[in-house]
Amino acid sequence: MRTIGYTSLVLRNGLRVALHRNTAAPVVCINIAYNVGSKDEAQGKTGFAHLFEHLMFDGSANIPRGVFDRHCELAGGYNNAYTNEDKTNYYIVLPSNQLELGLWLESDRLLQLLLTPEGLETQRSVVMEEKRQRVDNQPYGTYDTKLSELLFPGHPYGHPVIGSMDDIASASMEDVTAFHSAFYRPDNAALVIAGDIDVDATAALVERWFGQIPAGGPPSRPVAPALAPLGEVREVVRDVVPLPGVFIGYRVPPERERAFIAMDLLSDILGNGESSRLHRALVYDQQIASQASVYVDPRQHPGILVVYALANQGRSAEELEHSIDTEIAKLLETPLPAAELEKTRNRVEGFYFQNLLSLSSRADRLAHHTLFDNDPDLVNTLLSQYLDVGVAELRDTAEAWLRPGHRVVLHYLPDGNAPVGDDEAEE
Amino acid sequence: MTTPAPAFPDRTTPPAPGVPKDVSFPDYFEDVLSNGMKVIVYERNDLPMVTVSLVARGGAFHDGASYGLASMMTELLTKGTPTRTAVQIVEDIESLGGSIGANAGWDSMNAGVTILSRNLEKAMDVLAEVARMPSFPAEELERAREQRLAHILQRKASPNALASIQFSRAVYGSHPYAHPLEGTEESIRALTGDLFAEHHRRLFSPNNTFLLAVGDIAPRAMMDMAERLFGDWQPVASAWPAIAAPHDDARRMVHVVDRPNAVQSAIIVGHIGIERKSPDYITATLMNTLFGGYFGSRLNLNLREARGYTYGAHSRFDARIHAGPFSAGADVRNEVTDAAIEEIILEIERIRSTPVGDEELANVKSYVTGNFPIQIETPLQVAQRIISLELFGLEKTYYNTYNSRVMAVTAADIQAAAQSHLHTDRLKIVAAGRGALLRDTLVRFGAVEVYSPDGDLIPTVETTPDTP
Repeated sequence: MRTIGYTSLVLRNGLRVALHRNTAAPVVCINIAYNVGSKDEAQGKTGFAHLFEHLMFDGSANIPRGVFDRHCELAGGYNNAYTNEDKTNYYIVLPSNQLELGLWLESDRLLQLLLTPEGLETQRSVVMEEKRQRVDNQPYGTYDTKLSELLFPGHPYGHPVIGSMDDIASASMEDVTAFHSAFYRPDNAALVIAGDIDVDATAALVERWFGQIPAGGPPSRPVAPALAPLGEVREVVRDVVPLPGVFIGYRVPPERERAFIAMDLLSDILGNGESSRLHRALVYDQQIASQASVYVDPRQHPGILVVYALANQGRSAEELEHSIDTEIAKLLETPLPAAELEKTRNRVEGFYFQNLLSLSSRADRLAHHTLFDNDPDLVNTLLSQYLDVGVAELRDTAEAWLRPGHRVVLHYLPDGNAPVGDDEAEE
Repeated sequence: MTTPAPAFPDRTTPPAPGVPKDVSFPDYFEDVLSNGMKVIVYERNDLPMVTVSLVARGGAFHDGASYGLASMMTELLTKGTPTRTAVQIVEDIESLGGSIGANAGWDSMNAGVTILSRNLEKAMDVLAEVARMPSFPAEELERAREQRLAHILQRKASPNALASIQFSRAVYGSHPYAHPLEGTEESIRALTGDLFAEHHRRLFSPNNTFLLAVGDIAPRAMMDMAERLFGDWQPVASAWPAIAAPHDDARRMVHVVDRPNAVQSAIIVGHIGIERKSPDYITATLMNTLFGGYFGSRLNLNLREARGYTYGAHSRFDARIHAGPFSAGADVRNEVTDAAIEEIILEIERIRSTPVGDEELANVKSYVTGNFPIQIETPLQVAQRIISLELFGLEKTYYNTYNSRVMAVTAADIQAAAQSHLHTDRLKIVAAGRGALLRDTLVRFGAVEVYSPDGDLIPTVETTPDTP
């Protein structure tokens, strides 16, 4: 079995580092993951983690506003970032002779981010515009928010990553300064350098640019309470959508629990790809849906499995739900045929390696496993945990997590009169 | 602590770059089967995956009056053979840990599988079947036709798609590039299984295709597999009617696609550009990058940064076997549509009349040469480049010398390329937006023709009220 090689080190300030050498092209990827996501936001301060992702591009002591991107572009590289429930991740891809430029850019905004009232004002409106575009103005765009609220009431996962627009509007300079000093600390991050590097020289460069940034100690995070058992929660959503859609959310175990892996496999069997059970039944055979799919969202706390289907013209949400339920019942009642288990294992292995083809995706996985698992080697060993799962375990896991009556069911129905992009007032 | 603290780095200026590494394009294997069919292998086995593509020369370029023929025919390759239904094809490939797909462009068509390398042999059986013996089942054709018609309808809701369709018509007149690659409602309705079968017979033959494998596969093993699956494939004499190279209509044209309630205009201006094989390609595309091809380009700095007309302005040469279009465009607020077009025209005049400065040229070279290695990092990116080398008949060393040729371009070369390849007198100016407003404001660039989203000329006076 071929492996992704790496060297691990920890700086005195607690920054955990993994270096991966691959010389296929003279390219380097710098990826830094911070253990801060929407799960870490206090009540009344939702959306801060994502707002911060924007503020991190707004200038630091030696890199004025707008100049970060310009440096990357002039070197021929690119950069981006994302925020989810658990973490905020930044990455830069550069030609390998510009590695130090990237370390300078990335370390300066950790050491001495410039937070100004003007920057806060600008990024606040950018985030609000982003919410209008991505959530309010997209058909079915609110399903994610609704599933989170109904699946995780009273839990840090109960609010969406984008946050409440009221909270974003009332964020003060003191708030954002406190947020940066609590979470943007080397001992709350994992740094990965992947690509055409000399490992020893790169370790020295990492020490040079990141070694003197002071540690911060463990930040205080909201306590995640034990979740009360879930019944069947149903809601009808009238929205500007062309056709009915059904979105069903189930809770799944935290990503590093064994049962999560079985749930991930079950989601592939049920709804990943054209040959999956749901696509075959709803889209191809019955022709009641234009799309039918399932995905899991792996998380540090209990995560989410989403089943969704969008109706064809003239078909109802009830029809979709009935067909989905039929397929889920088959999973619970009938053991997986041996050929389908073999197929599922092949598919998981194929996805696994496809997802490691680029440097940036390798760096992303190494950073994730370093940050949350202290075990970058999971990038190599996780696959075998998937290939170990057998038929009985799949059935037991389905029985425990997909049995009827423990889920959230949303029916989206077309309503030409619903307002679009104007619902901030309701929040 | 006994170890000395490391020196504080100077953070006030960016660290100097190291010496750029030579960017060498990976070496790859080429050979032919007993029937002359070419096989190319780029072996890279850091992960146990392989992608194999069967590439046919010719694409939408050969659609004739059946616009969308190549695109629909290719889509249907994986939807049935004499021994496998559409469901079986996808089931067989996905069961092996892979995916299968096919698509068409202007100059080529591609059917490919990506698969765990231990399952390559079985996946190749399927690929050979869909490439050689597609059966175009009637039921699958109707399913695909419905989806395509829905897609074409959706595109009419997109201002950028409407502008782009009208732009191609205005620039190319009767040349095949004038028509949408995905077809029109009328042309898609007229397609039949017989048309697909005939088109397939003419284009999918060992003398018009090549096989490209990248990833975890040894060249010899690939040759053996290919010989078994394709060695008995019989060549076909292809007699395509010659298609004349496109020529710019010397007149300037101003076309508006009417969207009465639009809050923005989608602008595309341009004319016929260059062929991919043009000896000017590297200079012209570098000139374009400086002009409108990256964030720091003149167009973007002017229209976005200086004037705030748009979120982004871009330009490009879409180089194909025949000369594809040069186009510049932006989405802008209704009331600045004419001002934005005026600025684009002024920028074309400026790059033609004045040599670029040293710093501006150094910056664009730094961007392009630094970006190049990032463009050939993954096996699939390398595969895409190899396909280009083959289709356009470029030398195998082309990408090895790419960066050094970019570095050799001078300010005088940039100006000469602008004078040869950018023209204001024959611009085709297209904007999708409020017809009534644009008819009045764009007349300063020439006589305005207004079209409906369906592409019909709207005669004379305002037929569409300018709703607030």
